[in-house]
This record gives sequence, structure tokens and C-alpha cells, in this order.
Amino acid sequence: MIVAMWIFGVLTVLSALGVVFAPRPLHSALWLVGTLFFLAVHFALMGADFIAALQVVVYAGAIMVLVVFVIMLLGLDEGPTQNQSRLTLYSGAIFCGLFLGLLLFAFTHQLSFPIGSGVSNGSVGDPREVGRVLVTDFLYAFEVIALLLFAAIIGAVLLANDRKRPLMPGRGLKAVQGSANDAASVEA
Amino acid sequence: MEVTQFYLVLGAVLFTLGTLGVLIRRNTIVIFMCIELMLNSVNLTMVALSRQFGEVSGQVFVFFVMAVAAAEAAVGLAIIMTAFRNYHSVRTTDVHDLAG
Repeated sequence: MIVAMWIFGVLTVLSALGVVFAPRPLHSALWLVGTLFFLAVHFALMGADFIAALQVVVYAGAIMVLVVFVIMLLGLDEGPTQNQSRLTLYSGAIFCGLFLGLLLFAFTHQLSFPIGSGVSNGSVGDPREVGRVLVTDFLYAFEVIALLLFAAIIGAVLLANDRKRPLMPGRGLKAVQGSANDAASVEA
Repeated sequence: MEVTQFYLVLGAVLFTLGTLGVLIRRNTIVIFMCIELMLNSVNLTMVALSRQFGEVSGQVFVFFVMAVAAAEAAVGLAIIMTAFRNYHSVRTTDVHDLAG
């Protein structure tokens, strides 16, 4: 497990670097899919089978399809136009370096629990047990999450659905149909 | 290095990378994906601590984070589409009417 942990840890960090520094949004999305898959591997390594399956189905499956769909619908994959100022770049890097240093110090020196003392036989992520806790101890939270998702669906439809204004003049279904009609009239 | 500590450190590195992306990138979609990266790093930390303490509730929290992330993806991408409809761009340098 230790070897797999290190290999996939390095792969995860590399693909996360790809997400942050890839010049085109679509490449960022593909790197993010890779990162999510590697995280699913980590979850499986830790014995959290249910979460690993959810990670692949919900994140890498549903959410990333939505993101890629929006990128391609809006034609956002415009190529490398990095116009952020040097000041933003350096101050962001310095802030993140300090933040990472703080977190690493906390996780390597100041842990308030003894590492390695817990249950680590990998039996914690049994889907049956997770499901049982989900609908007994966390029943109300589960129902609230269902309500939240419902509200999010309604909000997304209300925000995105505007029949009066197309996404971009001259693009979309009307434009395609118009150009097809033009082509047909030219042929006729 | 202990397994739990390894995953805490990995989660910290991924969270910091997500923060860096949110701070330095200008494309709203990429910023959105970096936020997903930060959410996932927290999920990793929670699964590691769930394993450490033999407690299932950490994984239930991960389930809730995923549901909230799905809701955030739906609404966030709808907001991005609305911004694109109004500004014909999704870069934060173009959409800045609330910047004061």
C-alpha cells in the first residue's frame, strides 16, 4: 500500500499542477478529471470503497461532464491568453507558500492526536455501514441535502434559461438552421 | 511517514494548489475547477481522518460535500452562462461591475 500511495500521491500532485497551470480551460478540465480519478484511487487505498465509487460516478462522471459541456457550449477554449499582472502572480505565490508552510508545520509537528493509534484495518468504508449511518444518524441532514439539490436545480434552470436572449448572436441552433437554409436556397 | 500524515500533507498541498489557482487565474471556469480541487482535498483529509479514528461519519460528511459540490456546479455554471450572455466573456478582467 505504501508504494501505491506514494506513486499515486505524486501523480495526483502533478495533475493538480496541470489544472492550475494549463493554459487552455479544456486542458485544465482534463487534468482535473485525472486528479479526481487519482483521488478515487486514494479513497480505495484507504478502504473507503463507497466514497471511491461516488468520486468516479459523481465527480469525474457528472460534474466534469457539465464543466466540459459549458466550456464547449460557450466556445471558451480560446487558447493561452494569460494577462495577469506580475504583482498578482508573485503575491499569490507568496501567500500560498506561507499558507502551505503553515499547514505542513501543523500536520508534521502539532498534531493533537497520536498518529498510527487508530483503527486502520480498512473496514471503515464498508458501503453498507456508510449507508446505514447516512439514513439513521444523519437522516435530517440527508433530507436537507435533497432539498438543497432540488433548489439548485430550480435555480440553475431559472438562471440559465433565457429564451429572449440567445447566448451569442449568430451562434447556436438558430444560426445553424439559418446557415442551412441559406445553403439550401443557394443550391436551389 | 504514517499513512494518515501522508494524506494530511497531500490534502494540504492540493488545497494550496487550488488556492493558488483561484488567486492567479483569470478564467472563471478555471477558478471554478480550482474550487472543486480545494473541495476534493478536504474530502481526502476527511477520509484519512475517518480511517484514523475508525469513524464512519467522516465519510458521510464527504458524501454531503459531494452533494453540495454538485449543487454548486449546477448553479455556478448557470451563473457563468448568464455572465457570458451579458458580457460575452467569462474572464474576471471583463466581468467587474461589482468591483467598485
